[in-house]
Amino acid sequence: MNDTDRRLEELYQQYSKRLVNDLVRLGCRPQDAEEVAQETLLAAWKHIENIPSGADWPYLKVAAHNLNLNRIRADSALMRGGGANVSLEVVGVMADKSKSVEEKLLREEQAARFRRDFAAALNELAEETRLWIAMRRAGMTPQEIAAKEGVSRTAVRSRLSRAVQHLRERVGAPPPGVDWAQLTEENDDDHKE
Amino acid sequence: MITKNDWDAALDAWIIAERERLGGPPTPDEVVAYTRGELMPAEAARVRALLVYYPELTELLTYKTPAPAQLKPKRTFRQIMPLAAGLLIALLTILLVQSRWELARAARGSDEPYVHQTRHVLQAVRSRGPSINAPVHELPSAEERYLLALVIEERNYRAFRIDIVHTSDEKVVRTANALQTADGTIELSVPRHLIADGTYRIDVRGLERANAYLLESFHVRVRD
Repeated sequence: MNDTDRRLEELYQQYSKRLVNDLVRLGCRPQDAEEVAQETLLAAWKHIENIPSGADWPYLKVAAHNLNLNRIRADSALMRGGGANVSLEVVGVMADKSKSVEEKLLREEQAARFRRDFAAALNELAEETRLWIAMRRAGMTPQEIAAKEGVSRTAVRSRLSRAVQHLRERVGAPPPGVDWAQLTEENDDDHKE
Repeated sequence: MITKNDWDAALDAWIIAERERLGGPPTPDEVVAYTRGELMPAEAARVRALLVYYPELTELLTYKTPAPAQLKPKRTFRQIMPLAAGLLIALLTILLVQSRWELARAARGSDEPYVHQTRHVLQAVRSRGPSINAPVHELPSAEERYLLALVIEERNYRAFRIDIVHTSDEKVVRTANALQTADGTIELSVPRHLIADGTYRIDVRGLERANAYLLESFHVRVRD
């Protein structure tokens, strides 16, 4: 057995199950997760010399993530092309029967205008603040963001609070239920494990 | 009125645009270099932002690759022996999956569309107006995808909309703005996971300006 084989064996033993679990947690179907994990390990096998010791997990996790994205893209491309000339989307339950076409068009136009204004307002914030807002959208509490960023919770809360105020001035107050824009004290405990 | 969904959708759209602006998901090598602190500041900032904008990768934001001195010592011969037995099994498993993957990939990537390999093609020819007592087409449940080929003689519409409506819970799978090919066909590849077992009504509508005119409606049934 040479060093390459030994590394591969170690990667396989240590990470195959972890990769599958990680992919399933991200919404991948178990059989797809198994295949993506195997393909990831195969890719790692081919490039094993490029994986520095101690950096196995970030390498495999990102490789699996990207392979999974490719798989999803290939599936949707297959849906659009490859024998079919249109794409599909699940649109939920037929609920909008009451609205007229004009009302729907107006509504769509209003939402599109809001998206443009919102993006412009967001782009005026500091890069760090925008990253923290994205973290909030991903469900992280100010406490967790503070731990990740190595700053105090107060610093995170204060900057996010100013950012929400900025958005409020530019596009209006966030309606109730916009979790990532709420910064109540209880909010810090909501997502703690 | 602007709703919670508008706020969430606006932020999500902005994040997706940022991902694209920054060049899509980071490569494994970039992330490894980031965790080792080997990137130039601008590049490190780009990878850092991408790790945030792909929340599934955010856990790697603070991942630190241990310095060589902190690495585990090499395994001794006695430790390697039990691994040697397992290696053969591991390699065989990987090779088996590899061949399956390559077959699947070859099938998907070939010039011949993958869906054409299916043995069952449902072809519905438009009749005049919505059918009332039209037969229910049976679809086999064993396929991964169904190819729905709609031959529509009508050419006066700018596009068509097709709704696949589950008859009991009214869940809809929809394609909007479907265009006909030169021979008047609309081909729709429907993945099996979008339509569970049950009966579905397929509505075909012609789109003209802001109106949608129902042209055809028929039923398909997927059985165990």
